[in-house]
Amino acid sequence: MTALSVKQINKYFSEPVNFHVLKDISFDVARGEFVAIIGKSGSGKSTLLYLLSTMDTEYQGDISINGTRVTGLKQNQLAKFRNEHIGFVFQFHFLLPEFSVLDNVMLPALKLKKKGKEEIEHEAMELLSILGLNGQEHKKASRISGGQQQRVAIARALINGPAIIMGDEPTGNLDSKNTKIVFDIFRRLAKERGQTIIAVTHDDEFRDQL
Amino acid sequence: MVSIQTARQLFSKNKSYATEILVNIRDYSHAQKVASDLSHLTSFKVEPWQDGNSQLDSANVLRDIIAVAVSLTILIVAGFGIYNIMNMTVNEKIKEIAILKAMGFNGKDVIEIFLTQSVVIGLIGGLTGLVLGRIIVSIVDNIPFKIVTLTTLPVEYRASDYIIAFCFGIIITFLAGYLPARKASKIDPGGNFAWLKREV
Ligand SMILES: Nc1ncnc2c1ncn2[C@@H]1O[C@H](COP(=O)(O)OP(=O)(O)O)[C@@H](O)[C@H]1O
Ligand SMILES: [Mg+2]
Repeated sequence: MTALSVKQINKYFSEPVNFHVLKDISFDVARGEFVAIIGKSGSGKSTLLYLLSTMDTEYQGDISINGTRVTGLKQNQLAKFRNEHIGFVFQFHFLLPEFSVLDNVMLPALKLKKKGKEEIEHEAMELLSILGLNGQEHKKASRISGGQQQRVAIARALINGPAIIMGDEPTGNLDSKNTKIVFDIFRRLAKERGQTIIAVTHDDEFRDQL
Repeated sequence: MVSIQTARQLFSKNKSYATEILVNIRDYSHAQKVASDLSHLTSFKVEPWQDGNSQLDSANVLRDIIAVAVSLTILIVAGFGIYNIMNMTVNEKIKEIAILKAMGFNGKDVIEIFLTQSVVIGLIGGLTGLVLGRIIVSIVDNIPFKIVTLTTLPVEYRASDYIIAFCFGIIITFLAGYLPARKASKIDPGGNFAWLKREV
C-alpha cells in the first residue's frame, strides 16, 4: 500500500524573481518505509516537504496521502487532515515558547479530541521520556536547549500516532548521540507501528545511519 | 368643595387670588400626556410645562444629545484602542499562529482564541469601568452646587444606564476583536509566505 504518491509536481516562486524550484517530481513511498531525501542546501527540500505536508497548496501536480487526494482540498479540511495523519518536525523546532514542554506536546492531541486529557498527558510524558526529556516536562519551551527543543518537537509530531512523519532536517540541531536516539526511534516506528517516515537532510551522517 | 368664586368671596379676595394650580408629576417627560388627560376632566385651561418653557425643553434635548455623542465617541475611541492592541498581538503572534495551523488547528480555532482574548479585555474593562464610574459619580454627587433647590450637583442613579453601557462595551470589543481575529485566521502556514521555513 502506498502511503504517499506524488505525481508531476511543479512549483514556482514568483518573488523576488520567477524561479522554478521543483521540476516534474514524481515518486511513491510505501507504508512503513523510511525515506531520506538528500540534497544540497537551497535545492528545494524544504519547499518539497511543505507541499507534501499540505501546508503549501500553491503548486501544479497531484499529491495523495494514504489514498486520500489532498490536492484541491480546502484549508480547513487540510488542517484536519494534518492534525490526524501527518506529524511534522520543522527545520527549526517551532515550539510555542510560552507554553510548557508538556503542553506543547499535548496540543495536537487536545485538538484531535480522540482521547481524554489524562490519557493524552500520560502518552506525552511517555514520549518525552523515550526522547530523554525526563524532568523537563514543566519547563517553558523557551527555557531548554536547542537540542532538547528539537526532541520536544519530535515528541509533538508523534503524539497523534500519524501515518506519516515528515522531518525537515529533524536532527540538524542535534549532536551525534541524540541524532542516533532520534534515528533509532524513527526506525522503530517504521518497523513496529508501520508509520511512514520521510526525512529531509543535507548531511551525510544521516544517510550513513540508514 | 366649593367653586373658586365662592372661595374667593369667603376669603374676601379679588379675582387675582388663586389663579392657577400647579401639578407635580412623577416623570416630567410625561407632562404632555398628563395635560391632555386632565384637559378632558376640567373646563380650565391645562398646559404642560413645555408649552411655556420651550427654551428649557430644547436645552434638555440638546443636553441629552451631547451626552450620547460624548459616550459614543469614548466607546469608539476605546474600540479603536482594542482593535490596535489585537492587531499588534496578531502581528506579533504570526509565527505561533502558523505553528498552530501546521499542527492542524483551523481558521475557526484561531478566531476563537483571539475573540476570547478581546472579549476578556472587554469584560475586565467593562466591569472596571462600571465600578470606577459608580465611584466617580458618587463623588460628583457630593460636589456643592447651590442653585434654586439644589445643594449638590444633581445625579440620577439608574441601573439601566449601567447595563446599557456594559452591553455596548462588550459589543464594541467584540467587533474590535473580530476583525484582527479574522485576519489571523487567514495566516498561511506554508505557501509563498512560508512563515515556518526560516528561523524568525
Ligand atoms: N518563499 C520563498 N520565496 C522565494 N523563494 C524561495 C522561498 N522559499 C524558498 N525559496 C528559494 O527556493 C530555493 C529552495 O529553498 P528551500 O526549499 O528552503 O531549500 P532547502 O530546504 O533545500 O535548503 C532556494 O533557492 C530559496 O531561496
Ligand atoms: Mg531547508
